[in-house]
Amino acid sequence: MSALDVLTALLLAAALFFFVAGTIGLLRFPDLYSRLHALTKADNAGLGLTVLALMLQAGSWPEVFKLGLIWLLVLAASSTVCFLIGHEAYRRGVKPWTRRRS
Amino acid sequence: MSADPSNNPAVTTASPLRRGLVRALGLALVWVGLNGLDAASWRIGAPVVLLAAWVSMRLLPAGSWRWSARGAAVFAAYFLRESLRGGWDVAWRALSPGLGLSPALVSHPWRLPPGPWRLFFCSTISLLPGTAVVAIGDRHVCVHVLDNSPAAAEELRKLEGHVAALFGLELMNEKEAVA
Repeated sequence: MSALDVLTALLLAAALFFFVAGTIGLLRFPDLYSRLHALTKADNAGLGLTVLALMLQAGSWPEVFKLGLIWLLVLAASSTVCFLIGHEAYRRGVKPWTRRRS
Repeated sequence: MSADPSNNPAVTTASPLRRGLVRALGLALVWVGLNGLDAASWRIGAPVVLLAAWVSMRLLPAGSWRWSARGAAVFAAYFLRESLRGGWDVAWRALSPGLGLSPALVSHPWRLPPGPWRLFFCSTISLLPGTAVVAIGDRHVCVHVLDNSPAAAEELRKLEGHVAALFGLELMNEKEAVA
Protein backbone atom coordinates (compact mmCIF):
# COMPACT_ATOMS: atom_id res chain seq x y z
CA MET A 1 0.00 0.00 0.00
CA SER A 2 1.44 3.33 -1.01
CA ALA A 3 1.29 6.47 1.12
CA LEU A 4 -1.48 7.72 -1.16
CA ASP A 5 -3.56 4.61 -0.46
CA VAL A 6 -3.09 5.07 3.27
CA LEU A 7 -4.22 8.68 3.03
CA THR A 8 -7.24 7.60 0.96
CA ALA A 9 -8.17 5.02 3.59
CA LEU A 10 -7.86 7.59 6.39
CA LEU A 11 -10.02 10.11 4.53
CA LEU A 12 -12.67 7.46 3.83
CA ALA A 13 -12.65 6.40 7.48
CA ALA A 14 -13.20 10.03 8.52
CA ALA A 15 -15.98 10.35 5.94
CA LEU A 16 -17.60 7.20 7.31
CA PHE A 17 -17.50 8.67 10.80
CA PHE A 18 -19.38 11.78 9.64
CA PHE A 19 -22.00 9.75 7.75
CA VAL A 20 -22.60 7.44 10.71
CA ALA A 21 -22.76 10.34 13.17
CA GLY A 22 -25.15 12.18 10.86
CA THR A 23 -27.40 9.14 10.70
CA ILE A 24 -27.32 8.77 14.48
CA GLY A 25 -28.24 12.45 14.74
CA LEU A 26 -31.11 11.92 12.32
CA LEU A 27 -32.45 9.20 14.62
CA ARG A 28 -31.73 10.86 17.96
CA PHE A 29 -32.44 14.55 17.41
CA PRO A 30 -35.79 15.69 18.82
CA ASP A 31 -37.48 17.54 15.96
CA LEU A 32 -37.57 18.14 12.23
CA TYR A 33 -35.38 21.25 12.31
CA SER A 34 -32.56 19.65 14.29
CA ARG A 35 -32.69 16.58 12.05
CA LEU A 36 -32.13 18.79 9.03
CA HIS A 37 -28.91 19.96 10.67
CA ALA A 38 -27.78 16.38 11.21
CA LEU A 39 -28.31 15.56 7.55
CA THR A 40 -26.90 18.62 5.83
CA LYS A 41 -23.81 19.28 7.94
CA ALA A 42 -22.62 15.73 8.39
CA ASP A 43 -23.22 14.87 4.73
CA ASN A 44 -21.44 17.99 3.57
CA ALA A 45 -18.32 17.01 5.51
CA GLY A 46 -18.68 13.28 4.80
CA LEU A 47 -19.12 13.69 1.07
CA GLY A 48 -16.33 16.28 0.92
CA LEU A 49 -13.90 13.83 2.50
CA THR A 50 -15.11 10.98 0.26
CA VAL A 51 -14.58 13.14 -2.81
CA LEU A 52 -11.12 14.12 -1.59
CA ALA A 53 -10.23 10.46 -1.04
CA LEU A 54 -11.43 9.50 -4.52
CA MET A 55 -9.55 12.43 -6.07
CA LEU A 56 -6.32 10.91 -4.77
CA GLN A 57 -7.13 7.73 -6.69
CA ALA A 58 -8.31 9.44 -9.87
CA GLY A 59 -6.54 8.55 -13.10
CA SER A 60 -6.85 11.92 -14.84
CA TRP A 61 -7.57 15.60 -14.24
CA PRO A 62 -11.06 15.51 -15.77
CA GLU A 63 -11.92 12.86 -13.19
CA VAL A 64 -10.69 15.10 -10.37
CA PHE A 65 -12.72 17.97 -11.79
CA LYS A 66 -15.84 15.82 -12.09
CA LEU A 67 -15.55 14.68 -8.49
CA GLY A 68 -15.21 18.29 -7.31
CA LEU A 69 -18.20 19.30 -9.40
CA ILE A 70 -20.26 16.47 -7.90
CA TRP A 71 -19.49 17.73 -4.41
CA LEU A 72 -20.54 21.30 -5.30
CA LEU A 73 -23.75 20.15 -7.01
CA VAL A 74 -24.70 17.94 -4.07
CA LEU A 75 -24.01 20.87 -1.73
CA ALA A 76 -26.30 23.12 -3.74
CA ALA A 77 -29.05 20.47 -3.80
CA SER A 78 -28.64 19.63 -0.12
CA SER A 79 -28.80 23.25 0.97
CA THR A 80 -31.84 23.97 -1.23
CA VAL A 81 -33.74 20.91 -0.02
CA CYS A 82 -32.84 21.76 3.58
CA PHE A 83 -34.36 25.21 3.12
CA LEU A 84 -37.47 23.91 1.33
CA ILE A 85 -38.25 21.36 4.05
CA GLY A 86 -37.45 23.78 6.88
CA HIS A 87 -39.43 26.57 5.29
CA GLU A 88 -42.49 24.41 4.68
CA ALA A 89 -42.44 23.23 8.30
CA TYR A 90 -42.07 26.82 9.50
CA ARG A 91 -44.92 27.97 7.23
CA ARG A 92 -47.17 25.28 8.68
CA GLY A 93 -46.35 26.46 12.18
CA VAL A 94 -44.25 23.51 13.30
CA LYS A 95 -42.75 24.65 16.61
CA PRO A 96 -39.10 23.86 17.19
CA TRP A 97 -38.22 21.64 20.11
CA THR A 98 -36.67 23.65 22.95
CA ARG A 99 -34.83 22.58 26.03
CA ARG A 100 -37.04 23.19 29.03
CA ARG A 101 -35.60 25.96 31.17
CA SER A 102 -35.55 25.18 34.87
CA MET B 1 -36.40 40.45 -3.25
CA SER B 2 -35.49 42.86 -5.99
CA ALA B 3 -32.07 44.27 -6.56
CA ASP B 4 -31.79 47.96 -7.16
CA PRO B 5 -28.56 48.26 -9.12
CA SER B 6 -28.52 52.05 -9.15
CA ASN B 7 -27.46 52.57 -5.54
CA ASN B 8 -25.08 49.67 -5.30
CA PRO B 9 -21.38 50.27 -5.81
CA ALA B 10 -20.73 46.63 -6.72
CA VAL B 11 -22.70 46.74 -9.94
CA THR B 12 -20.86 46.90 -13.19
CA THR B 13 -22.49 47.81 -16.44
CA ALA B 14 -21.03 45.31 -18.91
CA SER B 15 -23.27 44.64 -21.89
CA PRO B 16 -25.47 41.52 -21.78
CA LEU B 17 -23.70 40.15 -24.86
CA ARG B 18 -20.29 40.38 -23.19
CA ARG B 19 -21.69 38.85 -20.01
CA GLY B 20 -23.21 36.03 -22.02
CA LEU B 21 -19.90 35.36 -23.76
CA VAL B 22 -18.04 35.28 -20.45
CA ARG B 23 -20.53 32.75 -19.11
CA ALA B 24 -20.31 30.67 -22.29
CA LEU B 25 -16.52 30.64 -21.90
CA GLY B 26 -16.87 29.48 -18.30
CA LEU B 27 -19.28 26.74 -19.33
CA ALA B 28 -16.94 25.69 -22.15
CA LEU B 29 -14.20 25.24 -19.54
CA VAL B 30 -16.57 23.03 -17.54
CA TRP B 31 -17.17 20.98 -20.70
CA VAL B 32 -13.41 20.55 -21.18
CA GLY B 33 -13.22 19.49 -17.54
CA LEU B 34 -15.91 16.89 -18.06
CA ASN B 35 -14.74 15.50 -21.38
CA GLY B 36 -11.07 16.33 -21.74
CA LEU B 37 -9.74 17.76 -24.98
CA ASP B 38 -11.65 15.46 -27.30
CA ALA B 39 -12.46 17.49 -30.42
CA ALA B 40 -15.36 15.23 -31.42
CA SER B 41 -17.12 15.94 -28.12
CA TRP B 42 -17.75 19.53 -29.25
CA ARG B 43 -20.42 18.39 -31.70
CA ILE B 44 -22.59 17.98 -28.63
CA GLY B 45 -20.63 20.34 -26.39
CA ALA B 46 -20.94 23.52 -28.47
CA PRO B 47 -24.76 23.52 -28.69
CA VAL B 48 -25.04 22.51 -25.02
CA VAL B 49 -22.69 25.30 -23.89
CA LEU B 50 -24.59 27.90 -25.93
CA LEU B 51 -27.95 26.66 -24.70
CA ALA B 52 -26.75 26.64 -21.08
CA ALA B 53 -25.37 30.18 -21.43
CA TRP B 54 -28.69 31.33 -22.89
CA VAL B 55 -30.69 29.69 -20.08
CA SER B 56 -28.38 31.19 -17.48
CA MET B 57 -28.86 34.68 -18.97
CA ARG B 58 -32.63 34.17 -18.90
CA LEU B 59 -32.70 32.96 -15.30
CA LEU B 60 -30.12 35.37 -13.92
CA PRO B 61 -29.89 38.48 -16.08
CA ALA B 62 -26.54 40.14 -16.59
CA GLY B 63 -25.04 43.09 -14.85
CA SER B 64 -26.28 42.37 -11.37
CA TRP B 65 -23.03 41.56 -9.58
CA ARG B 66 -19.35 40.93 -9.79
CA TRP B 67 -16.93 38.62 -8.04
CA SER B 68 -13.87 39.51 -6.09
CA ALA B 69 -11.10 36.97 -6.77
CA ARG B 70 -9.46 37.61 -3.41
CA GLY B 71 -12.83 37.41 -1.66
CA ALA B 72 -13.48 34.09 -3.42
CA ALA B 73 -10.17 32.58 -2.27
CA VAL B 74 -10.76 33.71 1.32
CA PHE B 75 -14.33 32.46 1.16
CA ALA B 76 -13.33 29.03 -0.21
CA ALA B 77 -10.82 28.51 2.60
CA TYR B 78 -13.36 29.68 5.17
CA PHE B 79 -16.07 27.46 3.70
CA LEU B 80 -13.92 24.32 3.70
CA ARG B 81 -12.83 24.91 7.29
CA GLU B 82 -16.37 25.61 8.48
CA SER B 83 -17.75 22.58 6.61
CA LEU B 84 -15.48 20.31 8.61
CA ARG B 85 -16.28 22.17 11.81
CA GLY B 86 -20.01 21.97 11.02
CA GLY B 87 -19.83 18.22 10.48
CA TRP B 88 -17.78 17.76 13.61
CA ASP B 89 -20.14 19.98 15.64
CA VAL B 90 -23.26 18.05 14.65
CA ALA B 91 -21.50 14.67 15.00
CA TRP B 92 -20.40 15.57 18.51
CA ARG B 93 -23.93 16.59 19.48
CA ALA B 94 -25.46 13.46 17.96
CA LEU B 95 -23.05 11.18 19.83
CA SER B 96 -23.05 12.91 23.21
CA PRO B 97 -25.25 11.09 25.72
CA GLY B 98 -27.31 14.15 26.68
CA LEU B 99 -27.58 15.55 23.11
CA GLY B 100 -25.82 18.91 23.40
CA LEU B 101 -28.75 20.82 21.99
CA SER B 102 -30.51 23.99 22.97
CA PRO B 103 -32.15 24.91 19.67
CA ALA B 104 -34.10 28.06 18.90
CA LEU B 105 -35.35 30.17 16.03
CA VAL B 106 -33.42 33.42 15.85
CA SER B 107 -34.01 36.43 13.68
CA HIS B 108 -30.96 37.81 11.92
CA PRO B 109 -31.31 41.38 10.62
CA TRP B 110 -29.98 41.78 7.08
CA ARG B 111 -26.79 43.73 6.63
CA LEU B 112 -26.31 42.57 3.06
CA PRO B 113 -28.09 44.82 0.58
CA PRO B 114 -30.92 43.20 -1.43
CA GLY B 115 -29.71 41.08 -4.33
CA PRO B 116 -28.72 37.57 -5.38
CA TRP B 117 -26.01 37.44 -2.69
CA ARG B 118 -28.75 37.15 -0.06
CA LEU B 119 -29.79 33.81 -1.51
CA PHE B 120 -26.14 32.76 -1.64
CA PHE B 121 -25.80 33.69 2.04
CA CYS B 122 -28.89 31.62 2.89
CA SER B 123 -27.56 28.61 0.96
CA THR B 124 -24.26 28.70 2.79
CA ILE B 125 -25.86 29.21 6.22
CA SER B 126 -27.49 25.81 5.95
CA LEU B 127 -24.14 24.11 5.32
CA LEU B 128 -22.24 25.76 8.15
CA PRO B 129 -22.08 24.84 11.86
CA GLY B 130 -25.39 24.73 13.70
CA THR B 131 -27.45 27.04 11.52
CA ALA B 132 -30.25 26.49 8.95
CA VAL B 133 -32.48 29.07 7.29
CA VAL B 134 -36.24 28.50 7.59
CA ALA B 135 -37.63 31.79 6.29
CA ILE B 136 -36.28 34.69 4.23
CA GLY B 137 -37.81 38.13 4.74
CA ASP B 138 -37.02 41.59 3.43
CA ARG B 139 -35.52 42.79 6.69
CA HIS B 140 -34.69 39.65 8.59
CA VAL B 141 -33.78 36.09 7.89
CA CYS B 142 -35.17 33.49 10.27
CA VAL B 143 -32.53 30.95 11.25
CA HIS B 144 -32.85 27.75 13.23
CA VAL B 145 -29.79 27.34 15.46
CA LEU B 146 -28.78 24.18 17.30
CA ASP B 147 -27.20 26.10 20.12
CA ASN B 148 -28.85 29.37 21.02
CA SER B 149 -25.88 31.42 22.18
CA PRO B 150 -24.32 34.77 21.33
CA ALA B 151 -21.67 32.79 19.46
CA ALA B 152 -24.27 31.62 16.91
CA ALA B 153 -25.30 35.20 16.14
CA GLU B 154 -21.64 36.13 15.81
CA GLU B 155 -21.13 33.27 13.31
CA LEU B 156 -23.93 34.64 11.14
CA ARG B 157 -22.42 38.11 11.20
CA LYS B 158 -19.03 36.69 10.27
CA LEU B 159 -20.48 34.73 7.34
CA GLU B 160 -22.29 37.84 6.16
CA GLY B 161 -18.97 39.68 6.18
CA HIS B 162 -17.35 36.94 4.09
CA VAL B 163 -20.20 36.98 1.56
CA ALA B 164 -19.93 40.76 1.32
CA ALA B 165 -16.19 40.45 0.63
CA LEU B 166 -16.83 37.76 -1.98
CA PHE B 167 -19.17 40.02 -3.95
CA GLY B 168 -17.30 43.24 -3.17
CA LEU B 169 -20.20 44.75 -1.21
CA GLU B 170 -20.54 47.15 1.66
CA LEU B 171 -22.59 45.89 4.57
CA MET B 172 -25.43 48.13 5.67
CA ASN B 173 -25.32 49.03 9.34
CA GLU B 174 -27.96 47.36 11.41
CA LYS B 175 -30.05 50.42 12.30
CA GLU B 176 -30.33 51.35 8.68
CA ALA B 177 -31.15 47.76 7.75
CA VAL B 178 -33.93 47.38 10.32
CA ALA B 179 -35.46 50.87 10.05
